[in-house]
Amino acid sequence: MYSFILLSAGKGLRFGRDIPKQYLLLAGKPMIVHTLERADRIDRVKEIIVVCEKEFISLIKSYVDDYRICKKIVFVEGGKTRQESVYNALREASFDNVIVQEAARPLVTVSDFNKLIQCPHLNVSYTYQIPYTVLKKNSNNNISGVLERNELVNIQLPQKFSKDDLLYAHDQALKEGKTFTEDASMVYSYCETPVFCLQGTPYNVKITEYVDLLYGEMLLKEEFVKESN
Amino acid sequence: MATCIITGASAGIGRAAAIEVSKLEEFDNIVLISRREDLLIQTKSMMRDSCNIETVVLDVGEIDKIPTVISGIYKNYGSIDCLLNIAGYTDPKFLFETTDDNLRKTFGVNVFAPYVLCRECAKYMKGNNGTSKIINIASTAGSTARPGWSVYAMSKAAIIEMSLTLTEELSSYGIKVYCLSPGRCATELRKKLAPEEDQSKIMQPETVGKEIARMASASEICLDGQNIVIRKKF
Repeated sequence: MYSFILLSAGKGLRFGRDIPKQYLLLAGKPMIVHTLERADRIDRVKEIIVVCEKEFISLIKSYVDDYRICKKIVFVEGGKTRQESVYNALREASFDNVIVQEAARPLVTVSDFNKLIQCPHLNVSYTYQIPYTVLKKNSNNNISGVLERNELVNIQLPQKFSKDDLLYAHDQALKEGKTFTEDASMVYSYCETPVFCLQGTPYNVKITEYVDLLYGEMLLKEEFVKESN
Repeated sequence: MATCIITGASAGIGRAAAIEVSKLEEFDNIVLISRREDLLIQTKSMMRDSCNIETVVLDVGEIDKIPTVISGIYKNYGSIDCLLNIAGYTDPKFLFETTDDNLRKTFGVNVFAPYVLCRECAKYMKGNNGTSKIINIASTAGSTARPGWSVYAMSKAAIIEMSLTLTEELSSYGIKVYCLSPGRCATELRKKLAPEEDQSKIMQPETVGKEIARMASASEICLDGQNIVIRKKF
């Protein structure tokens, strides 16, 4: 059984709106609701832990009522960093396994979540190949190194982890004062259990800027996103 | 246990649809809604009796009562699978004679009630894994102009646009939204709109009822999201 950690504490500053992007409308409904509704339909998810700023709890509660989300919802206040937000949620998780997802990825389907759950490995991240060349540059703005594209992957959420592994990784990172931008790299750094790379999808777009919202709305009309929901 | 809710089931197109829908194998429970209990019981007596038929006396214009009625139906039967929004009202008047009450009542029954019914039913339908349908009955009056019919025409135009928009909104849940616009049809409502007309010469409610049942049947999957006109040509 799984606790579903839904990260929604981001401020979305790049979006340049008065409210964080996860509360903006995507295809007519708030972006976060797309993921809440899908999490609500995953049998093995037994609770949804929403990590958000205190001021948005009542808004999300109204979404839960309006959209008839039936699963148990736990609210956890966001931390100063993404890492702290995940840590806060982990300490509230009631189940041995957790799924980590962010509200800014509203196109992940129920079928994608179920594939992640069914993957036999304990710690798993969706990843996607990098379709372009990535080089290093130095502080003088000169190319300073070549990265081997075949050895690189683009990390996509959702991810699933053993709660114990992820908690251990967070505890260690806290002790060492290290900050990570996502959780697969933490588990890789501190735990013996490997993080398996599950093939992601090209439609799992992270809504970061206004153009992504337009693109996301277009993708939501496509049958391959609808049918697997 | 599939359940179909039909408003306006006491007469006209609603009654005809109830009779035809009861012939389908799809529905185990059919809930008939109308203001008039005696006429609902008459409709029930005309339907195939091998499915469970419940009558609910409700003026759908009293929209604040709708959520309780729908949640009660869901609690009784465990699912809501099809909604036929057929109840209608008209009191056709020229602009200068149209009262505020007329506006409110027409929009209450013809627009607000179907909207609230869609909202409340869809909350339950979205858990049905893509097998639910909503069929809204508009009218050719919603896309043509005739003096004296402004409020009715406005309300039916609203139903057409409501249906097209909800088709988009609800498609991600697999809920299909249909819009059927009958032309001249021999109903009580039509008598108010065109009292001079010989009703034996125009389309009969049974024709529309059959079309509604066809849309409600599981085999129909392609006519949603468009304003389908049904009319008898002379």
